[in-house]
Amino acid sequence: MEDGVEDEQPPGIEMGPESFREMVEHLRAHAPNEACGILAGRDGRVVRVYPMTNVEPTPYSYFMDPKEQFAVMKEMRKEGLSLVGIYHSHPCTTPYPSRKDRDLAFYPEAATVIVSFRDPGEPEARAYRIVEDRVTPIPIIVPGSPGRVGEKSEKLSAA
Amino acid sequence: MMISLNGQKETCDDGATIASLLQNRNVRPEMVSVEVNDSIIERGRYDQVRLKEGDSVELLYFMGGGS
Repeated sequence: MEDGVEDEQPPGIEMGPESFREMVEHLRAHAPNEACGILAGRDGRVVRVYPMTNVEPTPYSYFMDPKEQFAVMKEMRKEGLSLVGIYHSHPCTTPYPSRKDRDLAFYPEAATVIVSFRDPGEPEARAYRIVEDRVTPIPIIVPGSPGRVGEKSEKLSAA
Repeated sequence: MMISLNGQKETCDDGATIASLLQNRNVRPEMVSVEVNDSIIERGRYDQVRLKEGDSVELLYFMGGGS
């Protein structure tokens, strides 16, 4: 078990295959820099993927454009959607929350979804709840996919 | 007075500034972006911008990180 990870497993997030693919392809398109976005939905199920602009585009950092963030959060509110997750890429490292990810996890109700492109041909996605610096892995449930993403150690294909 | 905060009606002290609004809600100013009536307010002006009855205030924590 990695430092800070708890055994308890809260509910995961559910994403349709199209949403999952949209998220992964958005992140892949910005490699080798990190990219980021917002997952909106209802009851833990993602119904909308919002690719966001990374205003600190390096291979090791992301920071969402606040102007876009305001616009998206207002649109979500108008459409009755809630913040289900915040996603970003780790182009060169494992899909595990970094110190900076944990320090800036201000939305404990939202899943932190990280897609690693260490092996660009086989992106690896993982999701976590981060509450007061405590990191708990949760599954990403993609209907139609074998198993639940994040429960097993195998890598994922975005196809 | 009444303002809208993230879409919810909220009471707020007359003459409140953005800085006092954040302080009353135990929000660290260096961790948020603030918009008043669709205009983003620079952090250095949080103690200068006074809120008015009916203002629409949006308050968002930063979303960022790194690997």
